[in-house]
Amino acid sequence: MLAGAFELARDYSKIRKSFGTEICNHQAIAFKLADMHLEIEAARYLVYKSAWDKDNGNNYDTSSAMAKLKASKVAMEVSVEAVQIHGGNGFVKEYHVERMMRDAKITQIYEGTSEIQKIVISRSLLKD
Amino acid sequence: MDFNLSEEHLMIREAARDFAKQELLPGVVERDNKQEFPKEQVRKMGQLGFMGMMVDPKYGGGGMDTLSYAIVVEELSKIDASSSVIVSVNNSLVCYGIEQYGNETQKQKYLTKLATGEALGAFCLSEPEAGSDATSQKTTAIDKGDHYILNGTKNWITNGGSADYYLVIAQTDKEKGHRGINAFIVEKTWDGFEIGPKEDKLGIRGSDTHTLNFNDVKVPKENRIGEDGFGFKFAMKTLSGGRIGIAAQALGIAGRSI
Repeated sequence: MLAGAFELARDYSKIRKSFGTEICNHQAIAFKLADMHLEIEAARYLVYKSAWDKDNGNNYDTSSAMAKLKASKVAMEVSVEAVQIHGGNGFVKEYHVERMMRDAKITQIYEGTSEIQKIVISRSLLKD
Repeated sequence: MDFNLSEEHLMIREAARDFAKQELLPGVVERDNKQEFPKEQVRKMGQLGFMGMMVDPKYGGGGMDTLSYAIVVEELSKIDASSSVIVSVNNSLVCYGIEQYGNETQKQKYLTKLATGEALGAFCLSEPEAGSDATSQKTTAIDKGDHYILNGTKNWITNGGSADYYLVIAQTDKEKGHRGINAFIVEKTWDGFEIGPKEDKLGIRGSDTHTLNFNDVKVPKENRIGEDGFGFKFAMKTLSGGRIGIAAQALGIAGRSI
């Protein structure tokens, strides 16, 4: 089932074989999956925390900036790695991950670039 | 501190996941190739209540919390980030902006349609020379008593060609800096409102992104949001919530990891 870059990469790594075994059995791939999972989890907590802040009447200017900065960076990095894990197939449209890599980039740009999010975050740290 | 999602959140996640699988997955590669706007899918998302999730039910919304909204955007984005940005802009910028800061007349006239998906909204801040630097607005709205005259160009507007109602940020008094900026609700059908060609983009190619031109568009004063000079604050406050939507979109693209 298609569900984002990480899941596609994980599922693919359990099917695709090289050197006589599924590629997920190579540490080079397994460690990538571990890193991707870790980064997505970290991003998820920031995103849900910011939503929680908004729902609970807290100021969410900074938490939403942190959520967007982190999640968009993770989307970019994870989707690039997902293409890499797919090898040549990752470059082919029917495998979806190349689209996700292209789609990810805009999340670092629109509704405030990553640089603007850093301005928001740093200002909140430095105001008295 | 509870890291578990509530029963309600799990249910809404399941609904979004099913919808994405059944309605967004078919044709997602083709829509990307052809830059085809998911019109039918957006209509269905309106019926499901995804277009005005956080809006008060008395205006036709779902009355749900922000976490529910983030979860839905995340789920939709796992399959089709073009469709999810259409949802994100309509929910967290347009509906939120009008519900939070608009007056009752504006809510009755516009929000009720936007929240149900009967109409689609767009948020117009970026300009050729003012992207994230929102104080450098070159679009002007000159006060003519009972109306404003709007002139200028907005760039990279999501839902630019498909929206019905546009929240437009414009400068009303250059001398006043960020206090000389206002936000207006502009209807697509008004004279002088011109939609430029669709951008040919790297990604989210199913969403339609346009340049918009405003040539002496007459905007009734009752379509200004908030007190005179509120526009900059309006944009900043609204974008804070928008960031949660885009962060959820990014999370979905990265993919499930629970």
